[in-house]
Amino acid sequence: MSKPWGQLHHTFILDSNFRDLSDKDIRAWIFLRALATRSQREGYIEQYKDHGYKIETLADLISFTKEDLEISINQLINPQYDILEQLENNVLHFKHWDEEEIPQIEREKKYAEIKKRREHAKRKSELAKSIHDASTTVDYLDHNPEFAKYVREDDIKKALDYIIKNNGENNV
Amino acid sequence: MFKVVVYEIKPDKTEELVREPQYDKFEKAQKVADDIFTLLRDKVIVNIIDLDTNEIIYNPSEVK
Repeated sequence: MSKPWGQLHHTFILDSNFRDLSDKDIRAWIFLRALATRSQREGYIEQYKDHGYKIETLADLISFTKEDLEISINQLINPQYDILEQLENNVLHFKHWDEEEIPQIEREKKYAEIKKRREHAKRKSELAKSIHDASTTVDYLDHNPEFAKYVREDDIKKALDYIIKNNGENNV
Repeated sequence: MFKVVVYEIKPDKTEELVREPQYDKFEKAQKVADDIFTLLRDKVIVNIIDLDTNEIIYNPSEVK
């Protein structure tokens, strides 16, 4: 199998299903690429083929490689993890490999795709955080009518006193 | 010691220092700062200052 990784990546780029990959799968994909040794990569490719090039395979790859990579997958997919920094590091990391295996035009296409995906993931993460915060706020207002009253009256000082008095541990 | 510094953003966009609670532990100050920012996001600016160095060491709005 010559330059399998480049071929696989090429398949990905051309596959319209690529656009439907979840952020989790994109992360897994990039992490696997960044962390795998050459022999591991070929193993992943075979595993990938065994699954008939289905998108779900990436999720399967996560569990398949969990012990091999000696990393916590839960940590990798944890939204609190600084995934963007890791993405930056790993993109730089496997850039070196790509110079060996993928022509310039394919590299540029791939980086553009990764950049787009990263921005999308970032926007999605920010949106998720906003939704979470909004949900938290609604819960807090429901459980703390006194605080809700201060917010309605736009009495920020009393609202602050309420939070500080409760040391931030009241149903948030 | 850690001080949670809270500025209220007024309708005319000016900021007024309104509260400065202090805590022995950073984690406690962080929890309060996070809650204040979450619950009053558009109405306040929140920072934590390390009183040993007098530097801002945490701002909930910059947490990703």
